[in-house]
Amino acid sequence: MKIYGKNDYWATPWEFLGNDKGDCEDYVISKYFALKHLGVDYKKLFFTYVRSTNFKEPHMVLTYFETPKSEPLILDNNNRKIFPASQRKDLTPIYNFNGDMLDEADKNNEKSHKKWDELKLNMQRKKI
Amino acid sequence: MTLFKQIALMLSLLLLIILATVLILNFQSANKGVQDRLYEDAKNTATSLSLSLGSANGDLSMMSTMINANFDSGNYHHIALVDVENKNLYDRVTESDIVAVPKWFISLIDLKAPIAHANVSAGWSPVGILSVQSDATYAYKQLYAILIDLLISFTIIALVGLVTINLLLHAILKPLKEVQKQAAAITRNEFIIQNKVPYTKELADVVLGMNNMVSKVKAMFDKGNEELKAHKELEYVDQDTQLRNRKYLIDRLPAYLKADAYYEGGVNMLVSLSGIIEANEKLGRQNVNKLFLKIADVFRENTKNIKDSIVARINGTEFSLLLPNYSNEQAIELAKKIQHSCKEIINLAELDSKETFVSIGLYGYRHSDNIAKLLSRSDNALAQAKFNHENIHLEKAEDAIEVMGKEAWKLLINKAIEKDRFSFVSWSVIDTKTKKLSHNVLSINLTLDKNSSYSYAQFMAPAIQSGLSNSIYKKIVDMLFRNSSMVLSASTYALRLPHEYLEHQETYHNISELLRANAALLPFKVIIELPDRLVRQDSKLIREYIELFRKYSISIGIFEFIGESDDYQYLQDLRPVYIKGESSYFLTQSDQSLSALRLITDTVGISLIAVGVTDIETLEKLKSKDIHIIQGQVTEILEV
Repeated sequence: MKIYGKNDYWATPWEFLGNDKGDCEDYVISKYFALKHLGVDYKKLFFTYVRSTNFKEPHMVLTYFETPKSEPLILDNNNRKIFPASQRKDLTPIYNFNGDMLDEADKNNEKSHKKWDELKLNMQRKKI
Repeated sequence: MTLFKQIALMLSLLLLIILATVLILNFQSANKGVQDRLYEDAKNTATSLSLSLGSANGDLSMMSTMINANFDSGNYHHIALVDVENKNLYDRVTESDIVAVPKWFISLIDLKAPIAHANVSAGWSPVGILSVQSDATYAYKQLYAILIDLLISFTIIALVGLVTINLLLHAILKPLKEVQKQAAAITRNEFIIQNKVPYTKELADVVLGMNNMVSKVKAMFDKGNEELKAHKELEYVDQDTQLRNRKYLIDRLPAYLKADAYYEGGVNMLVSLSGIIEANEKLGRQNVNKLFLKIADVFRENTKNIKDSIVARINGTEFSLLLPNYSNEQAIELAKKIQHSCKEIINLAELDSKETFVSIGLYGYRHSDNIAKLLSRSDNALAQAKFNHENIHLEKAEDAIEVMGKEAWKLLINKAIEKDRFSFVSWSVIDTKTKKLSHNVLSINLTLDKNSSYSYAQFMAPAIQSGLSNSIYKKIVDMLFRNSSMVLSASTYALRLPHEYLEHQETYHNISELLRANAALLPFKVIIELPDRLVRQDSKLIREYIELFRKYSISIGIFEFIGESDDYQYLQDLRPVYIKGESSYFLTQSDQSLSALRLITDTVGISLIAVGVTDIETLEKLKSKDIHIIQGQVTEILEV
């Protein structure tokens, strides 16, 4: 959707709330930063690229791992309830991403992921 | 340093700084580009490889194979996979071997290939983080090639720039060169007018200013020249007969009565016309003047072939005929001839030859006589002539008391030349105004042994008579330029070179060879003094000498100056550092004449020096005539 003037724009939580609408990734971002703000360890949270078999289209959800090996909980904007991954047969996981973890892996390098880097910058500017 | 060099240096430096800055900025930009490229490559690989690894479902062997395949196919320094607890699962590293790039370049450019990271997952579960670092070898090669290209390009640009700056500066500063030439000419007291006025306003102002100044100085010189020429007529010429006058004779006699005079002696003939009062009564003053003119013509006619002779009217009825190198017998014969011619003129004028007649006194002078002696002995001879039957009387000079015979002198001088027995002695020339030494005048002594030596005045006359003076001068000029540093300290020394020596056919060649080999090494400054009579001839030989001396920065002085030239332009052309004249010459000059001479010499920067100053009284008189530089015995009692 072209909510922010371009496709697949990763909006900051302020932008998301200000617009009162957004894509799946905007929900994921807002959830990620809200949980992080509430004290949840960011290493337990991932932006997960999934394929929705119902909608037959790419989708993104926030996954929560209690431990690295445990089954994740899926926070999906298409489903208001949180289910473990095993109960979400409609989703096929493709790729997990955590920008903070990448940043931590190489603290000298300011660049880690194009969209994430842009988001970080917008967060610093408190872009609405 | 010249202005051209300074500006060229400044612009070149500026150009090089700009080029170097652009080169550094260019290189830094290229360096950043290459580093960015290294990261982008690594990031792309990390992302695509991490996605591929996801399909391995956490199978490490599968993931290792995928990593190997990627690592081997591309230019990577390091690929590592760590699990979520940061434990190393698999990694590959390659040691770079950068042979194509010099070591200094690698140590100079600290190229750190950035590491790109990507999350790796298997299904829902995160596997870990993949790190990819590209190999910097390629980047180094690329940067080195860029640097070489930049250096070549900038060297070409710098060379083209420098050549362009040089050409432009030459074109812009060309008028300045002309201005500089004119300024240098003014410093050398040359009067050059620059007709081509430069385009640049500042330079044009300078040129116009200098042209104006030069024109004024030239006008002053010309005015002095004209005035001096006019005064010469008044000072030295008898207005009735157009013969020379007594003053001229007195001023010229020092050149004939000196130790190194060219002629050993000669005869001074005094001719007196008696009975002029009676003639005036009979013929009238106008006709008597015509009579004098005819008699003057007789004198001119009879002396025209006698080299360096002087015919002067010394008072209303008396004439002096100086006949150098003339024997007593020749002089008596000439006197008779002149007397006979005069008698004919008197008879033609229908005058009584018993009342109006010519008496001739002859004095056989020697070059060692002084002026007073020559004149009084000549007067004495004339007095005798007036009372004897023939009205001609010869007074011979006393035989000089010779120290030794002609042959003995010849032997001694030859031996001295052969065995280097000449030595320099110097006399001070002092500027009494500044109380400083102006320069030293060199003379020579002939030293036989510790106890006996002969001064220049003693040996030079026999040397001239024996035809050895040129050999002596050749020897001492050689000494001056070749060995003088042994005896002469760092100062200024002047050496007189006589007419005959300079005109000798080998002299020019000898001097030019000596100067070529030794002039640059001389620890003192040399002034070569040339006789006024020679330099004012403006002969080809003199011009060659002047050019030669100028080439080796040897100054020129003029001696025996009595201001008898028809034109003083030669002083402007020659630009001697000084003019030396007898003190009696300066003292007997009228104020107008001396002022005209001063105008000439001041405009071209020539000093006037009085020589032969023997006492304080003369010195004071000279000072009152504004002649302050003095040569002669009096310098021995002056404090410097």
